[in-house]
Amino acid sequence: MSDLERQLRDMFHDRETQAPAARPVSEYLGDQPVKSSRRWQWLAVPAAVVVTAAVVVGVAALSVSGPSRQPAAGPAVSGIRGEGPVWDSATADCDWPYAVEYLPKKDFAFDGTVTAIGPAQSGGPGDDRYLSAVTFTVNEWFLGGSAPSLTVDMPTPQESGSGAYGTGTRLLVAGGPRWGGPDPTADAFAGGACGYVVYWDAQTADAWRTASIATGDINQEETSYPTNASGQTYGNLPNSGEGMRTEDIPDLIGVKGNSGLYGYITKHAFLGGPPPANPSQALENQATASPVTVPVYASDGVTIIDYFTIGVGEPVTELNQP
Amino acid sequence: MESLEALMAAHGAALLRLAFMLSGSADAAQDLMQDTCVKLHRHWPKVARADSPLAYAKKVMVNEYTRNATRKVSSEISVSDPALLAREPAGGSFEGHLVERDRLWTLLGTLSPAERAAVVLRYYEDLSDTQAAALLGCRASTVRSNTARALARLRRAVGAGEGVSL
Repeated sequence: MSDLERQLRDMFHDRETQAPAARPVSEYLGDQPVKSSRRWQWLAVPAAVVVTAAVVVGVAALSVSGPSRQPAAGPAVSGIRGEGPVWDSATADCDWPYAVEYLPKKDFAFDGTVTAIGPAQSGGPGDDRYLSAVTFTVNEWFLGGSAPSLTVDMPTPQESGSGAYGTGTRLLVAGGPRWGGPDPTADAFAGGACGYVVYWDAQTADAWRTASIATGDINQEETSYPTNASGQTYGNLPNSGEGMRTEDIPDLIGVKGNSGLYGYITKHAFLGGPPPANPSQALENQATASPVTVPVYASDGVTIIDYFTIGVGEPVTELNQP
Repeated sequence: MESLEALMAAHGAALLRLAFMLSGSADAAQDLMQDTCVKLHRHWPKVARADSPLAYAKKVMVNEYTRNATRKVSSEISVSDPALLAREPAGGSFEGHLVERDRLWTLLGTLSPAERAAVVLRYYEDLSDTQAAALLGCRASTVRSNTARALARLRRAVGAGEGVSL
């Protein structure tokens, strides 16, 4: 060992006494004032959340050393509305800071209305005091799900200001399975601090829909399209569907509508009826076909959001080829 | 290990010392500790299943440190001031050794995160190249080269200053 190596050992030994003292875990997970250099991550929630949690569940429940961790149940405040992200994300450190084009990085995304708020459900042995299980009626799925409702663990709501929401609040929510795994909505979690929980407005909903349809499903395997509540598969066609078998085409196919909105047309409309029985019939169909305008649906296959005109000779007709 | 709280109660001080050696200042150490706690909390079931939750926690911490290439590696200068960066005779006195070590601590701030992590794991945690590589998620040869590069850089920085035999 060289002198330098020995000096390094000695130096580290000396420095041990200058190391700061460890703080309670709860402080590292969120109840400290935010310093300019401090980077709060998705599990860290604003100090105001902690204040409310203390009011709601009592200070005793906030004790880290307590025998049981009692999750915070959020205030049931009806009809809270707002604009933009629910939480101020300025101090968050996020793998994917909020930008609509990053939406496909999320495992699920939906437009939903809060119907209930209760104790967090997704937790393992960790500390979930600042989380609440928020149940939504899903108005529209953008990514990863199809159920009519979903319960998501999110930071406990506030009655006003950053983090305010309650029953009746309509939100755009994106997140993922808290502990990973193939099911996008298992132990559903939305941290919020990175801006992926947003008060609903039509324009933002359009942007989410566009982002999720335009790029979110594009990499899906042909056989892994999500299914909506009616059991219809939906998604984009990889490579414009070239070479796809008819049976592999989803029931609802992503298109950009005439008004520029992204949604889905039905497979039936897309295919334009049964495939031609022979080349002569195909030529005849082509000669007599005329442009047809069909509805563009949300992923639920019911809500019409736009229209799409299928013209003769458009690439979509090529997909009728087996 | 039943909970993150239990892990931190048992090993929080050691982890914070490691964070301090890696990051170079008390504030940065607390930030690194926070990042580590958040990651551990997020993946607790996996941590709890690990053979050694402490080793897992150290790995998370080291990776958090090296992953953030833009993290500012700051160093506290406790003896005097940045003049420590300049050559200063250490001599053979006790005070001289203290100055030397302070200078060394300061010079650690000139290393890249990967180099500093290698040095900390080798000479503070007293790990072998292989053990350090396991924590860093790289090959032992990478640890060796980073350590060698760090030592060379430190030697150059200190130079053949008067009375300094590094």
